[in-house]
Amino acid sequence: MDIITTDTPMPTEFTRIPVSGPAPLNTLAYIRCRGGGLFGGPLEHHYRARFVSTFQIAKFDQADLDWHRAISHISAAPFFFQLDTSSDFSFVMALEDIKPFIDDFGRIGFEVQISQRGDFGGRLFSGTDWILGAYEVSAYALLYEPRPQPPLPPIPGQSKGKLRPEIIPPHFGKPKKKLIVTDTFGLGGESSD
Amino acid sequence: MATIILQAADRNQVSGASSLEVSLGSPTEQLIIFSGVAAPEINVNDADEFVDNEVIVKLGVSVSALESGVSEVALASIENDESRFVFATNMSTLEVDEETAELQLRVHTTICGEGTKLHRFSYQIVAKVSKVASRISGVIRIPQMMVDLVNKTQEEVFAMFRVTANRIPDEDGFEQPGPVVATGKITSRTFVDGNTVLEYVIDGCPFNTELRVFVPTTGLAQDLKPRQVTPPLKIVLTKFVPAVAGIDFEIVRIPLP
Repeated sequence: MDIITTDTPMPTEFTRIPVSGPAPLNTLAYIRCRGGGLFGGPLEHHYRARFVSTFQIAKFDQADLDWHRAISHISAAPFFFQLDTSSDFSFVMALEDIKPFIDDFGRIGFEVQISQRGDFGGRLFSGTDWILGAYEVSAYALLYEPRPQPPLPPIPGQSKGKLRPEIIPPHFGKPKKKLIVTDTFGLGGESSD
Repeated sequence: MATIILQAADRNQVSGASSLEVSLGSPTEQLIIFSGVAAPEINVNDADEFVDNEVIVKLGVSVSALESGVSEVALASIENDESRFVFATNMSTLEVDEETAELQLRVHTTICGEGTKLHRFSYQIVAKVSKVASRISGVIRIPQMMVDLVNKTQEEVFAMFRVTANRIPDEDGFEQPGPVVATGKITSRTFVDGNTVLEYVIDGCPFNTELRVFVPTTGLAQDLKPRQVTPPLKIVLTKFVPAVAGIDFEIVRIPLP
């Protein structure tokens, strides 16, 4: 079966959620990206569309690629969001299967098996007859991403500011102004108005 | 309205089926995500009548409680033969099978048209659950005279032996593995009396379902096969008997035909 690869990452939205495992996995990412490949072209075509999202494992090191591939879990499904035909002809439009993967750069990608068939003279998506289909992939990935360690708690008795905060007494009314009389050397007595 | 039941563990019924389990901090609470492309293969040939069906996708995970869950379902593969048509995945609900405690997705579909087929639909589910504390456990004994595993790393040995709990499809197919409902793991390796002994556990098996444990192997000689040496072959877990231990296997030499 043909594999049609799209090199440019597909438009993607994603979000990362910190999770507590199973260890060492610490990140749940939700990824939604446009599907690669095309509906159109030959009258009958079965192929695998291979493409990557813009989501990349944080601080990815290529030396750890096999390790990431072994421990990460990705659960993905393709969903049509547009189906259209120019006329009332016979057709098949199908997203048969999906296989997620992590590429050499730590990006999450997908291989989607696509089938299409149109029954009329000519090629799909040419002249006046066409089929149009578009889909996106919705995926969850459970991964390990290095995170900065949280700061250690203060040693008891050594963090005055945090453990025994200074209490500022409430202040009522206008503060009294103080007038200080000094001589030319800055020395002098104090008097109040 | 017809009901079609599909097993997520069967690649011919659900392609690209995958799931992942996320710990939420509490030992019993988990977030489970399921995705797949289900293939109900619904076929109609009438452009004047709407045909409704109910499709149930058995997700292969048993839970003691479903706290909350959301599901998304959409068309994935459709076919029509030059007629007016309707394709619809009207409604989907996530529920627990009362008998087996297994999670399942119920999808209501409607189609209409000549030469019209709803081959597949995609689904994705996010569920917050409490897992069933069900377990099957035992050991696999491998005589060192047959397979010398002393110089292999623990990871290499674990990769050679898998354990699965399979649904027994029917009496005729008792010897053949049915759909996998739970996958176990090897927890330890020891050497005892000239044997390598691997301990295994299979967690999360469904209740009230006839199960059999299988040990698929890789890298063994063709005439070496795992054989269950302690009964019962047919295991049924219930809320009252949620765990069975001592389901032991031994690697034996079987004469080749």
